[in-house]
Amino acid sequence: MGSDIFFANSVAQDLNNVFTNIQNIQSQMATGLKVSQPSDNPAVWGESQILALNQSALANDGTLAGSALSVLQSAGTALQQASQTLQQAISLATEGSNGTLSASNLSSLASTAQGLLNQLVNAANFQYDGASVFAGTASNVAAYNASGDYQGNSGSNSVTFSDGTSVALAFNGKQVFGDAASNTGAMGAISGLISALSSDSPSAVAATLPQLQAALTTLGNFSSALGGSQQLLQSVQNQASATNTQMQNNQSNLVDANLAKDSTALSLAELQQQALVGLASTIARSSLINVLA
Amino acid sequence: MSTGMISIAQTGVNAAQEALATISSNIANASNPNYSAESVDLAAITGPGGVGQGVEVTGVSAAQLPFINSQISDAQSQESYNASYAQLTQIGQTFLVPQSGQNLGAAIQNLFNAFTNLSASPQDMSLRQAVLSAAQSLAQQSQTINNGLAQTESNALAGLPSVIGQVNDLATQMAQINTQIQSAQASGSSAPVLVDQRNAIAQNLASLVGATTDSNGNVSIGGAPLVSGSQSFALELTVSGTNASLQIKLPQGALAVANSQVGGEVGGTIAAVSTLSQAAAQINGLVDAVANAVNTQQEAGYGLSGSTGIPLFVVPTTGGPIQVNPSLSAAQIGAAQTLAGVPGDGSNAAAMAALQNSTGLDASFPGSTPGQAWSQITAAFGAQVQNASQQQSQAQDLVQSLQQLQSSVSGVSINEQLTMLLQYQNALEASGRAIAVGLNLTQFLISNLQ
Repeated sequence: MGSDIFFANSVAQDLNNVFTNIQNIQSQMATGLKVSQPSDNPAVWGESQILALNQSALANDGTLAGSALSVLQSAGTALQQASQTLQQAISLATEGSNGTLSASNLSSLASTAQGLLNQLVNAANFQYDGASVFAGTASNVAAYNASGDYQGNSGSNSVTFSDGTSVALAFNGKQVFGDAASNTGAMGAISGLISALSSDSPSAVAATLPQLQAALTTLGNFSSALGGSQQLLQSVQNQASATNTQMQNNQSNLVDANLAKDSTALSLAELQQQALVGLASTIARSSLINVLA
Repeated sequence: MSTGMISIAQTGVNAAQEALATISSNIANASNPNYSAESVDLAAITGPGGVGQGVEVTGVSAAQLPFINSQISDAQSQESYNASYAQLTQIGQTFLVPQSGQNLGAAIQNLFNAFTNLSASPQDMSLRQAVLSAAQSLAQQSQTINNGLAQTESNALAGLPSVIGQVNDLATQMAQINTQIQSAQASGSSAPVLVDQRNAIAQNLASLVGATTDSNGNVSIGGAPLVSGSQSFALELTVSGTNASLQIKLPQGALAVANSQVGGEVGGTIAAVSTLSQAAAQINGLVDAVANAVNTQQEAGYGLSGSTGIPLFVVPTTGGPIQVNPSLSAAQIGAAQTLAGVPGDGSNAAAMAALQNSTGLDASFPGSTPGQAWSQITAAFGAQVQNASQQQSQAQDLVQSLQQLQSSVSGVSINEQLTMLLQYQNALEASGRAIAVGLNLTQFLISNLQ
């Protein structure tokens, strides 16, 4: 024996299954994703989520590294200006210390030196997005007053990326430019030069040369360090971009639909559907009742 | 001799008529899935000396397959259980992981990214505002998931009383049919139609609540009796919050039915609600853990005005979704580690960002970062949905196979019934012809003996 109703039900069920399969394939082709929700493939979903979160962090790191690089490049420009100012100060000191200049000439050089101090203060007061880069963590104040006295603090600030890499973005200006009040660094050296020139004392002017040279060396060392930081940021940016691309590829391999494969599967499923519809249409005709009629 | 011939032929007519009536009934029920094809049971009438004296119908019977019926019920229970479970958890999944891709995991990562950015420029008010926005987004995602899952649970539980009502109606019908079958069997009938009806009810009960029915029509759920012979007992549902429990009201008192013993649509619904509730608890646990860790670090830091000790999130101690502290301004985000470091120190913001790499923030996921915990929660939930869908599909296939097996034995085949229809029609005509011959013979004898 064999019941006709269950045969019909079976064909209907098979048609439903094929239809569901077609819907799934079409959904994958429409979204371009073979895994768009956890139940599609839990293991792949879990892996893709980790990749997606890491991608997000890396993309953020890349953008942030780009901004930080801009800060340090601008700061580097300020340091170059400061170095040039110091070299001019050294030339001035050399000229003023040879003992051939008159008092009025020295006084004139003192005025020039004051201008150099102003330039140095301007360079040291460099701001990025309204924040003083060389004022330590006192980023809301100018690092130096007009006299070259340090107004910031001894703190510093760094950016830390998702992989733990840390790069300083705000610096204790006193360590870079010194302080006129405590007669240290470039600020102290140029202030000392102004005083020496104003006091009409070539020997005193000559005495400022070692401090000016030392200040220039300090600036040079800091510029080198800043260059290293810029390279590190560039590396973070490149690495973030490369890793992000790699992760995108990995994630694409995990969750993206294979359109060629889907097209083949869709054709096969549609063929199945046609065959089942054909089969269903024979159910009524195959009965003996039609033969005996 | 001719009168014997006529009476013998008459038994053939009677048997053929009854067989044709049975075939007509079979054909009429050809589209009834709960019908077993019936056939007449014929027996030869034995005369003196063991010689045949015609045929008699001893009864009408149908092939009953109690083992296959039981297997179909089990498979239907599995199918309904997994269908309900899969449907509800799939709805839950749409709340847990919106198709937009802006899910909770992304919201947590965005918050950490915002802290990373703030650490670089802690005096930047737009970056501080971005932290608040990211925190707000995280709280909203958490709220959306909680509301969605809770609504799904509530809707699912609200549908159960009507299903329980159907179960009790069917149990009452089963008890009545048991009584009718007992009565029919006492009078010698196998009552095949009633048995078919009982089988159909048994399969419905299995599908609704995973009840098992023995060959006498006694129904039980997880060992607790729902129908005992001609008596049925009320199945009662109690819902407290998201907890549903069942009991059967027996004359001697209520008997609890463990949820793990309940199958079918009701069992699948209860299990799905439990799964959704657990998922909500896991999500809340993760979000709370992140919020508490951020709060601890935030409270240790200093805002632009020197404020300290102000949490970023309000974390309810009684459960439920977090909120962003409404009294916290962007300036009060504790980016600086020390008061002296205000405003340019972002090391505390960096410390908050570094929480993204901290393992074990959520004690339920030791060794996992928040992102990994999110991945594990959603993947585990997806595995449950996927498993239920696969189980449903397998049970559906099994039901189909078993029904085909059943139909191959007891189903109505139109072709077969038409063949038998012709066979018995011929038999009827032949018996009629035998009666006619007998009558002619009798007439011939009467005419020639006069």
